Amino acid sequence: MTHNAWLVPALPLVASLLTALFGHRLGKNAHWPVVAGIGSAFLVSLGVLFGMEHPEKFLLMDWIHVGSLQIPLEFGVDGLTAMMLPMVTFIATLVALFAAGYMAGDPGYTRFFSVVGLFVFSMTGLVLSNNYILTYGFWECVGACSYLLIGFWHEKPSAAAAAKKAFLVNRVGDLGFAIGLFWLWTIIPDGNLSYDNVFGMLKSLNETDRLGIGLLFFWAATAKSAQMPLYVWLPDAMEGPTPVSALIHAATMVTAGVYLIARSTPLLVGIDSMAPIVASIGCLTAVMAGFYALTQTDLKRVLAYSTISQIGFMFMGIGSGVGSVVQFAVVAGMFHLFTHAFFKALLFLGSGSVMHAMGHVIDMRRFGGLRHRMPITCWTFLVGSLALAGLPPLSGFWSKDEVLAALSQASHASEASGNHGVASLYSMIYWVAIFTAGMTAFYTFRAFFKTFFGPEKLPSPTDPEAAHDDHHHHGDDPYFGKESPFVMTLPLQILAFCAVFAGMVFAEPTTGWFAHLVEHSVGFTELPHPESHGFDWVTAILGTSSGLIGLGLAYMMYGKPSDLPSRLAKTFRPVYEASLNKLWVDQIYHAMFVAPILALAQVCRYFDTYGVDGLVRSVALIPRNIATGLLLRFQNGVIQAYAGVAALAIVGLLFILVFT
Amino acid sequence: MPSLLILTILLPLVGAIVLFAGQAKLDRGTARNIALGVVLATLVVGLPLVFQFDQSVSGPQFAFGKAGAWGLPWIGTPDIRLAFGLDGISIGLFVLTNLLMVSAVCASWESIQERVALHYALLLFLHSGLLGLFASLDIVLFYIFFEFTLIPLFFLVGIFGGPDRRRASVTLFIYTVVGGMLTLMGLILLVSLHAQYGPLHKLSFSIPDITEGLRQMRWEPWASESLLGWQTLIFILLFAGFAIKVPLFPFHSWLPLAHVEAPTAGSILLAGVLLKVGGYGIIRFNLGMTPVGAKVLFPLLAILAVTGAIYGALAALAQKDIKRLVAYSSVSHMGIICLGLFALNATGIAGGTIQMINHGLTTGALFACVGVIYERYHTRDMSALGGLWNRMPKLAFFLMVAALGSIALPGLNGFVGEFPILIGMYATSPVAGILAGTSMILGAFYTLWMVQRVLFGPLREPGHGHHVDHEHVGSVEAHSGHGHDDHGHHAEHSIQIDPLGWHEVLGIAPLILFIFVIGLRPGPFVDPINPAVEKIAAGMVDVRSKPLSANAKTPAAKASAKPAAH
Repeated sequence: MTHNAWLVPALPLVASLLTALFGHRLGKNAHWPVVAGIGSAFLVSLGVLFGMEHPEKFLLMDWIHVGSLQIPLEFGVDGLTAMMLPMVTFIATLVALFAAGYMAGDPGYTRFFSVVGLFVFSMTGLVLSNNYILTYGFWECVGACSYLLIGFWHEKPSAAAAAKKAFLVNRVGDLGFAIGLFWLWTIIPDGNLSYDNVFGMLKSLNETDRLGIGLLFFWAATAKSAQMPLYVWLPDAMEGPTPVSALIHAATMVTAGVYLIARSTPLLVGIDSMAPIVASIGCLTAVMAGFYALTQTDLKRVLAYSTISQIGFMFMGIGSGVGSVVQFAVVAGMFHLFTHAFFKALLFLGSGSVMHAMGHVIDMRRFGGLRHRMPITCWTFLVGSLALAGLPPLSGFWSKDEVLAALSQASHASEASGNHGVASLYSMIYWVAIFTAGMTAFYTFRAFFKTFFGPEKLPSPTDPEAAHDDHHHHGDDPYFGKESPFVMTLPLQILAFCAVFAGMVFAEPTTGWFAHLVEHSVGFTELPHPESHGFDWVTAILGTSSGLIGLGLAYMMYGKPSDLPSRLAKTFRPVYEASLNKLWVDQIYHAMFVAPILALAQVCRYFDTYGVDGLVRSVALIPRNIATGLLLRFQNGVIQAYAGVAALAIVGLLFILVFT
Repeated sequence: MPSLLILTILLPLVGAIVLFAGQAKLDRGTARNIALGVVLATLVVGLPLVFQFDQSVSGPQFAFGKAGAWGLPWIGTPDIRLAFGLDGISIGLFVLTNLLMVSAVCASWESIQERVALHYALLLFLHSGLLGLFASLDIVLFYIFFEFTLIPLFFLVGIFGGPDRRRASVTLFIYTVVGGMLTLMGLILLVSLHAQYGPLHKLSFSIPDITEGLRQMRWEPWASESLLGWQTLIFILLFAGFAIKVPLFPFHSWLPLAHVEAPTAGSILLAGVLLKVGGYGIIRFNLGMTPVGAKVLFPLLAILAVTGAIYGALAALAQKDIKRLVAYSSVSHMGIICLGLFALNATGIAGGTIQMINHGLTTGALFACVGVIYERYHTRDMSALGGLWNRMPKLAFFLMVAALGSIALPGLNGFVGEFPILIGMYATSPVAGILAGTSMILGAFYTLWMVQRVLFGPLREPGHGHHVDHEHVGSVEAHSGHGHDDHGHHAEHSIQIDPLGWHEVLGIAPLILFIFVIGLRPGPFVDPINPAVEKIAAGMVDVRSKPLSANAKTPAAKASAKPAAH
């Protein structure tokens, strides 16, 4: 089955093209090609998953061959790929189905599905690629799809600005990726950046080069996966349609950075300074984004910050890879990526269902108590929240627990190798992560209670934002204030099922299937073999209690009417303001980077007009009169005159030649 | 085949003469039909050359004669010959010229209302001149075409341009003529030195023969790696004219002016093809004939190219006039192209060569889109425009693809050139490669900002009130409803904006098609370039004291050199 892997990106691509070309003829059924294309891609990826025995690669064709640079179109199937493909296509199928209901009636219906198909093509290509430069190609393509989908409602100035911001911040990261590739290309003797070739030549590469390249790749990952310092684009990306937020900006694309670092594990193994950096950035991001999420009133932004925070957990997992923990660390990080995809897609689609019913209002202050009106959305959202809060036995618990266990093992391993500084760093990260788990439970249930509990409240039909948002006039929308249609609630229920079981079926302490799969990746057999550890009960209990405390606090403050939140906000005014304004990072970045570049641009503009050009113009003044005279005599013979000049020049040339 | 090549070059010339002679009698419709017929015929007649081209050959093809005596005798003494031929470096530019000429004629279809026959005659003169230039195998012939292309362009800008057209055309003229004179001096020196010290001691004007002869020349001062050496001196002279054509910072100030004033057709050709004459000259003469000069001057060249790439991008970022923005983007992109050429290895030079074609396609399409907008709104001020996506979905698609192609999105054409350029430069000078890499960010910044201001946001059109005119609402909606994007704006649909006409689609769509095709399947476009560039890069390796990446072995050499240094 694995040799059919190329079908996984190909089917959505064909579907996307068909939709682009003929979609307008299908009208309301324009989603069918893409839903069918992604759905069948999912079936093929299941075949790949079950058919894979050992890593394989397929050279489809040469893509780019310029000078001595060769970029083949080369796919590989190994553990990481076989795990990512079904996950991406499964969630994409459900999201596309959901979108068929959510986007119904939108004037850009066909465009939406066409770009979604293109995205699934790019994303599956990204995880199938067996070559660093090809990965870079798909990496940029998913960014472009994200750009097109964030700016989907292009008349909205905020959406247009968010799309550009997302692309630019990602380009800042991509530059790091590109420079990493340049560097790698110059040190790999045959210039072949296939994964297996690169990982096979590790012995001839020195540590400085590997660390530098690894840090550049991580720089790229912080942009794509919205980590410090380049996370700023993701919250704004919520301007896109909610299914897009679920698919691209929560479940799949934003985790590409985690995938890249996991993929590059063999390249970085043995460099002990890399992992602590990754873990620290992940930890800082996780706690900071959790802090922002505490006070947001926009339901989608709460989820966006929680995505940033959870990806921070994934990096903490991968960043635990010191010494013999490497393999366990990668498995933990990737496992969290895996379970997160289900419950975060579920939560985003749930918020989309709410938005759909509320006439595209997403501010939690303007609605509440929706549990009776939207029972399916409410209960599936609850499942997602429990999973995100990491409470057993839901999926989030198992993966979060593995991340925490990896951190604790990293601390022990560093201690054992006599690296006390690093050991205490890891144990600090461990405690911060446990604290962040509590914060996660708190803000998640804050959102849940605010939306579904308390007295029922709906946005007024004359609400200006509700009326003008996204071309929907909810006054005559049959779904206003009602549970969403079956095509939307079905994906919610399927995802809720997965959010419950995706953890316990695959986790290390139960079956270990996930770890077993990931171990079958290119270059992973060389990794230090993990010592077998028993289930870490202490970590499990600590993590769970932290989550329960967060849940309990959220219930106390938001589960029933209470003035506690506003009193707290008053008491801790500066803290509240700092969280609400997200530490003013956007403003600081603008002042530090955007404004100076724009100012420099103005300098260049004036310099060009009055500096360079002025200089030249003063020279040009001399023959100007002559030339103006020429221009006045367009009709009578300037061509002849010019030809005469040219002829003279040639005569001169001959003259010189004859006498040399 | 050799006669077909000459026929291709002559065809537009015949058309030009007919139109020029018949100026008084031809009406607008006839003149433009003749022009379109001629450019299409030239495109078709030139096609067999593409399919017959042998990609494994690095020397000229489709030429009369053979090495030592290319072409047909023209002026007996000295032996200046009528030699035409194409190799991997020129064939792409040759075909690009034919393609962009169709776009140029289409862009003039409605916008040129007066002295129409003269306009098309000038376009066709330019067409013939450019084809001849790229196909010339003789230095004198090359130089004649090099200077000749200026004449029609001068009049295109000077007669059919905007309000400040005189200053623009005069600036263009002076810059190019001054640069051209210095280049001529350089060429004369090359010919005479080759005649005197070359292996055959024979006066020759043939470009391939001189290139080969200079490479084999055993004359001690020729190989001097000094700042005052012969090759350095000649490099500078040749470079003067070509750097102005490119234009490389700081010789670019004629370009924004010329673009803003030029009619759309002029801009398409100027950015699409004429700038490439500079790049072509640098490859053919500077790199091919004076490689030591390139090596000696490398730091200066790299600094100029990097500065140009960043400076052009920054200046583009500050523009409000969309055409000026695209013009400055050309300065930036041409800086990147030069960077590839100056990387002095096969990857960079081949990347720069294919990027010249890519840039011709994307910038040609961008200028054509700007022309479409200008023709309807008579403004290029982006602050007066907005939300045109709903108005003209086809234009939005074209502009978006051209923009994404221009910012080197993988899968579109720009990536095929930009990535090799940067990686090639990085192999030679990591600092220059990284600095130039920042233009990836700045390029995306100004390009996407332009897209955002023009296409995104609520509909904004200059000079029209917001009153509702029900009669027009229906017709406009019918027009703008080609796609699925008709969002049914209410009050804004008060004026009649024509949808894209067939001629506009014919002018832009082929460029968009090639933006996709080159991006997805670059092989057929790059394969002819590689062997020709290998040959030039081999000349570079000869002159380098320590070989850099002329081929894939180089990184190995570097890597193995490193441990040795420890």
